[in-house]
Amino acid sequence: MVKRMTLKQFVFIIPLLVFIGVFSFYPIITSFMYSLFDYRNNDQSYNGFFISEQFNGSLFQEDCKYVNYFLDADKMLMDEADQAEISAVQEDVTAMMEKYADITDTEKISDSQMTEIKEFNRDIRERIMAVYDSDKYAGVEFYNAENMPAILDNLDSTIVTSNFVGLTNYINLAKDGRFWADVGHTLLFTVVSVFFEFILGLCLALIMNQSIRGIGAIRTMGLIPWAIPTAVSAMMWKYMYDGDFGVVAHIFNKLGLIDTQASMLMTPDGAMASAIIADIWKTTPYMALLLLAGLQVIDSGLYEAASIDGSGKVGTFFRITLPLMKPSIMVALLFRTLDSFRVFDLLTILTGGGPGNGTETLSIYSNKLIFSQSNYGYGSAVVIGMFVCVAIIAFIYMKVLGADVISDKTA
Amino acid sequence: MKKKTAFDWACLVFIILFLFITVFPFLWIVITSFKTDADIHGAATYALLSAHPTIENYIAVIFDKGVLNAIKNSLIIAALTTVYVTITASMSAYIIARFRFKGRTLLVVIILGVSMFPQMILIGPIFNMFYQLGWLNSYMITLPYGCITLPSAVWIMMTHFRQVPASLEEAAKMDGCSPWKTLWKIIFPIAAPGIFASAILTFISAWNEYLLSLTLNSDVSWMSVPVRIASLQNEYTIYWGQITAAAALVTIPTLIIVLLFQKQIVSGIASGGVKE
Amino acid sequence: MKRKILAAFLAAAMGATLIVGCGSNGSGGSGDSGADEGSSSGEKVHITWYSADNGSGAQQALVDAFNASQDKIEVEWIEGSSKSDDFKQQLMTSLSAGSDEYDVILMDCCWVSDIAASGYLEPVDEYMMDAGLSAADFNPGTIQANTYSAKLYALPLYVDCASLCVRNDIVSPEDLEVLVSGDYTYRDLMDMAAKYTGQGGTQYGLAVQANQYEGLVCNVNEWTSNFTNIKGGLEEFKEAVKADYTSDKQLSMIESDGVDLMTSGQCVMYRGWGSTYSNFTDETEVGPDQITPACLPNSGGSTLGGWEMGINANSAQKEAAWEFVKYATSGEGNMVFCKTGNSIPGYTKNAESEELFESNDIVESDGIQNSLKITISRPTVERYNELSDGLQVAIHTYLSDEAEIDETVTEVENLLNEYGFQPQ
Repeated sequence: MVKRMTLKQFVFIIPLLVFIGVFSFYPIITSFMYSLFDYRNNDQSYNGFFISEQFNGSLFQEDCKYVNYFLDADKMLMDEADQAEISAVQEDVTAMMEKYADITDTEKISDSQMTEIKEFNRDIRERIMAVYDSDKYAGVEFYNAENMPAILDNLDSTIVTSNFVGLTNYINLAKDGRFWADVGHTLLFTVVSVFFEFILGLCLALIMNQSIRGIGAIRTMGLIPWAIPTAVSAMMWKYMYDGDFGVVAHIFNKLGLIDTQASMLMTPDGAMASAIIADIWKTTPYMALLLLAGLQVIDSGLYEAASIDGSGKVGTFFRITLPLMKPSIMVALLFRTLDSFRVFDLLTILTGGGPGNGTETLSIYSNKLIFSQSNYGYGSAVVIGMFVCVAIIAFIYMKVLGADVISDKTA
Repeated sequence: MKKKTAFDWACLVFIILFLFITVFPFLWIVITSFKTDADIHGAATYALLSAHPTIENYIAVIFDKGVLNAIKNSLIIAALTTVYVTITASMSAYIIARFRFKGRTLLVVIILGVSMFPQMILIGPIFNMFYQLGWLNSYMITLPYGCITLPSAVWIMMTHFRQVPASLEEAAKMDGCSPWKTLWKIIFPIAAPGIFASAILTFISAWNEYLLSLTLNSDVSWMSVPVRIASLQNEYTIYWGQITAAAALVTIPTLIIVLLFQKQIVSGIASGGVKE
Repeated sequence: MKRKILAAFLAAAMGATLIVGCGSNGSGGSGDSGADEGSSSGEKVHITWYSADNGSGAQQALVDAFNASQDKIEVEWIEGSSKSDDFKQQLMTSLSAGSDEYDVILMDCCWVSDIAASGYLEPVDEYMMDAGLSAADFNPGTIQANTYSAKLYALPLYVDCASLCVRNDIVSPEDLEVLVSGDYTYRDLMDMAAKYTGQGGTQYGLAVQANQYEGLVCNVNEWTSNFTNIKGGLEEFKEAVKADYTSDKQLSMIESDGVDLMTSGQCVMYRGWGSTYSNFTDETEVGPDQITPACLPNSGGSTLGGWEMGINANSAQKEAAWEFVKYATSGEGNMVFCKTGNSIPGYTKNAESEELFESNDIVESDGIQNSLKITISRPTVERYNELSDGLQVAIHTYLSDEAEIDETVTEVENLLNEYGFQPQ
């Protein structure tokens, strides 16, 4: 039974649209913009969307001030003729500062102004450096002999050129071995952990579905891991895997599963396995809860019918329970996969991407790029690359498990 | 009672083992929280009970580190998020599950799509927005939390609403029920397991969230539980005793909530509440 | 304008969902009252200082001393996350939004040039001139690290340098003397570590930092003599990391792991920082009396660290902010901070003052004084954090047997060249 929607019903989805628009779409579009620019937060000439040439007014003022102040200090060491020349330069600098005093941001200016500033920069560089590099001062140590060229370079950077790079970030991404290695790590982590979480989550759901005494306590206990914040549980697992003090590593060692107590986090494979175990522990309850809810929609009459037919427990499970739970299974798998593909807290805290970068996932890579290295442009390209990977996975799920969740048909 | 078969016994052993593994790391947290720092890195590392158990860690996190305040913040934020996400999601899920309109498939795919982006890219733009509006360090953080949890909530409810027999709804319509009333009186009770499951998942997702809360509510008095606990360390020392004590403490409220609502997850059709 | 549209959009969102409207009313009220408290402190200029708590109480002591020292400015300490990565993330997010919520900022020395280059910091040269301070009054390496494009952007609250933490009840007096002098090689250090392993109930002779993180670059910086002896240094470092006298988990160890091994009495020597020593207290298994600060092999040098005070370029009260920076880095406040926190002042006059030595015997010790004589910087290049990340990956891959020494050396050399670092 599918009806056409009227305006009255449309009101129902407005809140959702507004939320997604403001808090998801807006950031996602911003991020996509970043990925088309060489946007870096560790350089004034790159931390904006500059499509055309622009002028950084405040930096210009600051740099000019420094030029004059460096010249003031060094003037005393020069002869009279040069002092006069330097004073003239200083006057020019001051005049220029006053002329452009009202431009306090990075903004567009007219072509003639742009030319004027460029010529001014070139002119004072020549005049200043002519004095500093002059042979007569070969034995003189100017206070700002090194600072002067640096500040003049900085003055040149007040003319901000376009940092629009189009698809360059994506081309680099395709060639970035680290990105593809991280895709591999992320996929491995996702596939293995989601697989076990599904199997164990199904078991847990079946247990929780029983109506035995104390089931309330069992259900609550089963959900404990999910209730401990990821950031905290990751720290706990790091402590429990510790080569000197870790109880889990100690037990595994005693059971003969690992050679030495420390070997869990010392190899890429071991570290990956450790992270997967911690993730399975943590998120199996999530899976179980979703599947348990799915179990509830099965009409109990069907079970009775099956038991009259003489099907065994196992037969009933595969013939009735599983097929009927398909929509719930699909949603649980889908959202768990999306989540674990973005795994961040757990691996950052457990390994930081090591050993030998063998457990670095896409989230960790993009986080390092964006926050440690302030490279928003390329970091965002990694995020978009990650999005494409997840989208492909989601598409495969829907094809394999049947897309009846989104099609027009109802159950 | 039937006689227990070997299969039943095997199941029982499996259940006990399963629960033990599930609970063990948490038990270890509790055990560690009663140890002194010297015990945690000394001879008593693996001891189940410290030779000189201490409650110093609990005293420190409650009185010096403001963990109770963090619990209060997180409870309010998670509860607000849960309530409005559940309402918003159930309204949308109902429409998507029951009505046909242009761009319906697209909408469903978009909802899924937005949950594919890692949270870290939300941080910058949302911080700017919150800064401009003066919303940093406030309960407004529930708004972006909603967007993190909305997609899964909508999808979960969608699948459950679809399982509700359409004939019931037809009957309601005959009786002159408005869409709102149909949703509230007919669909809600039957799809209750799905709705409660999604509500619990939303609550705990909001409770667990780290990155947004770290940047948006960075002031100590507004810190959420995970951020507060993760900050119980500095360059040279990780205060394991305090971290475990805080972790044990903060798990209690969530467990109480789960305990209260666990019955609702297993009801609906299976409990025979509805007869067709 | 943009802001208005955004506000209207959000207001619509709120109206649509009743419950959120309720929630926001409640929270709006309490948020406002918080802001009122901040501004109701009378005529005083109110500024904020963003800093993590290092656990020593020195931050609070500094703020209290400043507020008591004059009656025009009141500084409020806003506590950031004590996890370094989180702290940086909070800071960068706030700064890049153009926020003025923090007037004075405390930064790790290896972040300053990045933050300065992005234009988020106010240069301090002019303020220093007016106050009669000179860059020459401060630790030279730190000043170099805080300078970008010939402008100085921050002053050191305290400096830190790598140092060797030694159990004086295990190591013989003769060996201890050598270690304190710094007059030995890494080979000697390794031999000594092997020799003392197992003595006095210990399990390990040496602990270093070899996790894949910033600290790895600092360690390798020392073992390779500031990247002049890359091959030899890396091979020795790997030998030490894999040896029996270091922990099996060496490849995942950061500072706190080594401190745990030392304070619980399981390790003889530990490469740490000058600020490590405050972790040994009367309550730890190994107390402060059993520990002597020594010097790393002077052939390699001792990496310079520390935390720097800078002024937010968007601050509305830069003059007041500068007063606080001045007080904390060169005024009485610097002494208060370094005495309380057992830290090494970056202000040369304070670092050599008898007054400090009276209450801070760590700084006075020969081991720290010798370390300060051989400090080396991390590679000073633009975009250091990118270079550092590349180095971490390359070196850690080698340490975990996933790459050969020769390819690693080539990789490291390529990276250093790419970012324009000239080993001296």
